[in-house]
Formats: sequence, structure tokens, C-alpha cells
Amino acid sequence: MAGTAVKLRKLGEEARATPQGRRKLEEDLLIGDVTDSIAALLEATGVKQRGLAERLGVTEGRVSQILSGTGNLTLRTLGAVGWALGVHIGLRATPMADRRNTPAASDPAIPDWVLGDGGTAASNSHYVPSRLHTDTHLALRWQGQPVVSVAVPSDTRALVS
Amino acid sequence: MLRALAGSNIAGWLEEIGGDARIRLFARARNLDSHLAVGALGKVEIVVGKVVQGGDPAVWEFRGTHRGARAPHLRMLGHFQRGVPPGGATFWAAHGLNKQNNKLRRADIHIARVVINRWLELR
Repeated sequence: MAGTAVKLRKLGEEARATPQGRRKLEEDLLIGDVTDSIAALLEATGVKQRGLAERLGVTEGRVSQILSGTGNLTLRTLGAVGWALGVHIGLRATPMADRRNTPAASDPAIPDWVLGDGGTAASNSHYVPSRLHTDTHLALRWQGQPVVSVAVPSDTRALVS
Repeated sequence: MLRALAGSNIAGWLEEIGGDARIRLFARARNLDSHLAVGALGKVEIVVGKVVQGGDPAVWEFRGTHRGARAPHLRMLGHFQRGVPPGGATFWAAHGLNKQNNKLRRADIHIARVVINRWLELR
């Protein structure tokens, strides 16, 4: 007898069928990922919930809230959790293969350099000295259009020219 | 990967729990896949849940909602098959239930055990 995955596939279709469902899915995915990661960090470091609460100066109930995904976990709190456990906690954006029912459905593809995957889209994105600014600025262009412009200290100009 | 065993109540249970809960459950399944895909097998217990009855195979509890979240708690009991990611590790769901408190009823574990054993016999 084989197991059936049919109903579970329908779960995914249902979640993506409406903008509301899609939004909730993305929210739940992030909450799950963050809380699982914190739980894994606690397990890996051997720090108990009570210990984390003491390090953060909050109640054990608050830590339980954080781990359950029900509390209002701010970015500042997340940074504090990282501080308490001695880890940098970052955020990695991964493009959706299917952007149906998101407001970004017809947006252009997100350049790889934004995603921090090592710049596999090197043919499309590149660092060039900006023609729009002085040579103390560097413009990051995407398909010829300036996207980000940052000031470059004069002593580093040689590295980027 | 999350799959439902034939002969389980999963299909009917999914109909009962409502749209929001189904999305939450699907998100948890995706979380599990993500962790397995990067080889984070050490986190399986955190994402899946725990062994609620030993034996061969053990009966696992899949948490559709996090520990400490408000009831009802979405849970699936089943068999967790370890394997090499990304496709090899699978949670075979045998019984879905909504827990109202932290206790898991023996009757629910028994139902899951029967479905799992029947599946193994016929496989």
C-alpha cells in the first residue's frame, strides 16, 4: 500500500490560491523558521529556556512566547537573542519560484546580488563607477540602471576603479 | 517530505480543521523540508516533534503548531523515515488530531500504530 501525498499537495495549492492565503503562508513559514532556529540554537548550546531568560533579563514565560511563535518578536528582540547566545542572526531572501497571488507577481526578477548567493548573475549585475556622481561614489547598477549609490572613501577608490 | 498513509484519517481531518490551520500545517511541512534540504537532520526533532511510542518503527508526533502555542494544537502521529535529503526523509502521517492540552491520548497513539503496521505489512 502506498502512502498518498495528494491531499498534502492540495494544501500547497490552497495556500497559494489567494493573496490572503499566500501572505499567511509566508508569515507562518518565517515564524516557523525563526522559532525552529532559536530552539535548535538552545539545544546545540545546551542553554535552557530559563538560562536564556536570565541572559536576556526577561521572564521564562516571555522566552516560551518567543519559541512558540505567539509573542510579538521584534527584530531588536531577535538581535538580543543572538547576543545572548553568541551568534549573528541574519536574514536571507530567497526568490519565490512562483509569485502568483503576491503583489510582486509581475515585478522583474530580483537580481542575485541582492540575495547574497555569490553573485551568480554576474552577467546582468556589476559594480561600475557611477557616471552620475563624482568619483567618490560607486553605483551598483542592474541592467544598466543605477540601483544603489554609496559613498566610497577616497583611499579605497583604487580598489573599485 | 510530508505524506499521508492510505487508511489514515488525514484527508478527512484536513477538511475539518479549516483553511488557516491547513496553511499553518503546510508551512510546518515546508519548514521541515527546508531543514532537511540543508542537511539539518539534528533539527528534525525540533521541527517534527518527538517519539511518543518506541518500537520498530517508533510513532512520532508531528507538531503542526509550536509548543506553547494556544490550543487546539494541530498534531499528526506517524512514522518518520530518516533518509538522505532532499527526497529521502519523509514523515508518513497516520493519524491527525487536535490536542486541547499537552496530553496525548493513548487511543490516538494506538490508532496511529495500527495504520502504520498495516501499511508496513502491505508494503
